[in-house]
Amino acid sequence: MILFTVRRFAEAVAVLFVLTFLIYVIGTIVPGDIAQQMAGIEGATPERMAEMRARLGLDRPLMVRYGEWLGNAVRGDFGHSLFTERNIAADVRQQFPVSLEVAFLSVLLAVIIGIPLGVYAAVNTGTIVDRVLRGISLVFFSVPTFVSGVLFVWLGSIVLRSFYTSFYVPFTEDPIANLRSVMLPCLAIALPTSASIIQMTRTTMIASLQEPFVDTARVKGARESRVRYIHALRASLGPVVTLIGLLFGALVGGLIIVEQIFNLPGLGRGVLLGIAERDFPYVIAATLVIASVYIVVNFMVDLLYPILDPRQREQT
Amino acid sequence: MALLRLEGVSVHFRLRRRGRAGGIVRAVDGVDLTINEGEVLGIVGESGCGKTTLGRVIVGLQRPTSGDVVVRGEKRSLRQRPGANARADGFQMVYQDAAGSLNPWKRIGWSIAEPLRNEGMRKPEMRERVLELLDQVGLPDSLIDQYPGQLSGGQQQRAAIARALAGRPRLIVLDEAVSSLDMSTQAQVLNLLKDLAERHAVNYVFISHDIAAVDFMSDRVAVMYLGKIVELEDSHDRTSPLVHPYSITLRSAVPVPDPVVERRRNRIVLTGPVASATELPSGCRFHTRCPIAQPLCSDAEPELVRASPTSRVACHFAGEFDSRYAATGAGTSGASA
Amino acid sequence: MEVTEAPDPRLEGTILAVRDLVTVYPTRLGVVPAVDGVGFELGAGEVLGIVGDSGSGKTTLARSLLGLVAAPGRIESGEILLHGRNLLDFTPEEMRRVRGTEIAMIFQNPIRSFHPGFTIGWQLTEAVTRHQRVSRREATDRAIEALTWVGMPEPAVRMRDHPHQFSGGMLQRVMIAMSLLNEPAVLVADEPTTALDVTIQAQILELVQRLAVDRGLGVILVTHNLGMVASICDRVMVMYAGQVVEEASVDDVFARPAHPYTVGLLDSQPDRATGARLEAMAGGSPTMTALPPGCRFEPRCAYAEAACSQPPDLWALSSGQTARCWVSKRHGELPAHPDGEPGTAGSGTG
Repeated sequence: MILFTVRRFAEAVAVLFVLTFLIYVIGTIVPGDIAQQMAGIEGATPERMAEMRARLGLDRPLMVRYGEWLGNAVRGDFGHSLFTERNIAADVRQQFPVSLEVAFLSVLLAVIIGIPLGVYAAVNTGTIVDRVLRGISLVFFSVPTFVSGVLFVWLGSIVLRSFYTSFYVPFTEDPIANLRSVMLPCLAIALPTSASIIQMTRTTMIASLQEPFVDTARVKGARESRVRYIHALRASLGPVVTLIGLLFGALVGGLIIVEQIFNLPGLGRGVLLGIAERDFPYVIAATLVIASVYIVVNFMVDLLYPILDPRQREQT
Repeated sequence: MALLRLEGVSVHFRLRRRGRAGGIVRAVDGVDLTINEGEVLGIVGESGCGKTTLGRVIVGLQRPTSGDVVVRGEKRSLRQRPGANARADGFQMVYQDAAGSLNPWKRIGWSIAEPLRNEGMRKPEMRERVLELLDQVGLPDSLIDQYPGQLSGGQQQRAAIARALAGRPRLIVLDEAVSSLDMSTQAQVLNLLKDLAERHAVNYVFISHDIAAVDFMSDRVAVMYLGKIVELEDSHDRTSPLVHPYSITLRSAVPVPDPVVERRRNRIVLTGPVASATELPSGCRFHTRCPIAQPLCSDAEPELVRASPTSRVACHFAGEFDSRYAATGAGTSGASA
Repeated sequence: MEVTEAPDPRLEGTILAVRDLVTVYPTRLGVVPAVDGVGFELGAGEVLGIVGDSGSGKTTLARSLLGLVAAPGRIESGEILLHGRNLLDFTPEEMRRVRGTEIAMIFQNPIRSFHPGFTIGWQLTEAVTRHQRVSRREATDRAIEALTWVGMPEPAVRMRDHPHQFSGGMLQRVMIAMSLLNEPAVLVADEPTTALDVTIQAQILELVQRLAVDRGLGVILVTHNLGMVASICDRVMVMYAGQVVEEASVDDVFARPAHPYTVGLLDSQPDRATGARLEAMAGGSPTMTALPPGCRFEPRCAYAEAACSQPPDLWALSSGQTARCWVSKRHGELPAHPDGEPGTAGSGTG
């Protein structure tokens, strides 16, 4: 078990390392650069451009720049924004908790909505409720976040005013106000996300409920709720947990849109701005943080497997 | 003349766990076996003894890790794809799960005609032949256009047998072919198999865990334990009892459908730990469970040698079961039943 | 809430009595009576075998006893009297309390009948804590004790292991231990050895038989294996197409079967001594949606006569057996062979 953890951890670190390189390379080869942006389209004589690039250090070989950047990044120094000229690490430190909160709360909501509904649908397969649920989750799944987001902004500012404040308040300052500011954005992300959790839970639960051990639990005298939520659900969690790990990746897209729509000062909005302004160092740093979260989450998912299914423990 | 000879055939599988090499499973380990023209060879053993793998080697679906397969005097080429061997030799296999071996989306007639299509037979001729085959396995003509799901388990197994017969095979390996059928249906299919063997001069290798069914079908019986043949009959004498301690135990373990016999009987119940094909015990593979094991048994692996006029046995103390078992203090009344 | 009802004086010594039980499954082609008017009685320490082909209703019957009929199937009518109380009048919560404490059940595939994610100890203690308010410590002690009953070596250590660390035979022992934890009066065993190796089957059978005798447990053994019936059962009930076609003591059934289907089953057993052709029954079980109007076995029956186009009852014969057959009713027993065809029937055990 310890060996397994260590190996998985080493793998995660290696993936992260490769990732930094890829992000760095992709970041530099995209067309259009900050020099052009700063010099302005009109006054961009080749001489000014070269001078600008030299000042920004863009004229040196890629590997050298990457090595230097990596060395600094390891120490938590991502340099300064080319656009705002502010310290990137400081900016990210402020934005990261906002996005993290929205991300985790969204997934939490999606799980709270998705798993019970999935179990309910599995237990009542073929009934009207099951079919309605499937229809609803299909709708949730197909509505793009920018539509549901706008809808929720409207809901929040017109109908559910007590559930919504339009500016972000950190949790540490005022928990209630904080929840009011993030609840609706999180729902906007959670609903489409929960749709896939409902479907996955339903499918795996239907299979689990056919397993003989479910009958064993009944024969022992376990209540039906226990049979479902302890025995059958536990055996169905593997694929659901995998899905949740993957959903964190899909979340990023939603995050960018929702932060924009709901005016939340998170990484997503920062990235959107950074891309628009070709603020290359900032985009790399933000992407790296987002990717790290994804890797950490999936590392935790990997650690969950042997806990969920002891048969996997022997094999390490 | 021997239809098929296995010479020192072994099949070892390497276990892979999460991409890393694990242990080695010795599914079949150094088996010598001859199948003569016109006989039914029964292979009996418990789950994991390697009987199915051996059946696949015989048919040509599994390449041995080492050893030779000699078909009608010619060594089988190992370079061919496994399936091609079976076709070239005219060998067929019938599985326990008939439903799974028939394509659920195709009509029964289509499935039965599969070997005929491979031969390039023309359509009208093919239909004629499929009807003939249905008749031979006792299925009504009307089934030709039905789907496997519309058939009962017994009918599906008959259809699978019809397909195996379609290419007029020399040998059919029947792997637990009747095990999942109801008793009454099982009897019907066993009878059918017997009739077909007599009428069509086809050889069977009848693989089963059910020693009663193997006894019924076979001219000769091979008993397998953990990848080895521990006892091999070479005569057609049905009345002579098997003598390997494992064979005796196996037979003793099967309850007889007669309460009077059952009450008198003293069943041999094995107590020792069951060894696995990944971690084979030293010496004789059965010694961990053998009721008459001696110190010698954990040191030296016995060879398959002649122990009675009719059978060869891999046991240091073959033929001494009754006296030795009595000495352990247990009753022996039904031991060699 | 307990249902209080005066025990039926006719049921002296009987733990479980089933009367006219009908369990149906709705299908597209109509409602199918999977169990069609079945009745029997089970005494303490008695082992009752229920034999039949797949689809005969034997497993549905077993599951009906514990109220485990899967929807859309349902118990239509009849009585299941446990110590005189009708289980069919019980609320779901009362029925839940019966499961495990009064009627226990074990299944065919021990490996798949345990939850792969929990330890054996967890699953065993769960059986205790569903019914009794006891400390964790005490539940554990009782689980360990139950493991010793079934001959598990090092029970306290094995409690921490997961199911995949056991062999199939060992798991079936654990399953039996679990079923006995709350000291039930009846154990329903549905093909308990079918998934096990032959040499292991013998051990499990011996264990079940010993426990039945030692604890005065009534055992219902559902099986297709006549050898097993001969080996441990006291009485046998033969089922065909949802109905009981014969019920008798094990000796009677094997010595002089009173229903042609029973004869057919016995004749289907491969006979080692001769290797001769088996006397197989023709055809297969009828489709439950299109049952013959008279005797359900009539289309396959070598004894069939004119009377058989009417549905027969389960009649008591002079021999003490009961059989659902016009022919044996008329003769008082089943003749040695159908008229004019000597040598094709009779006991198949030689």
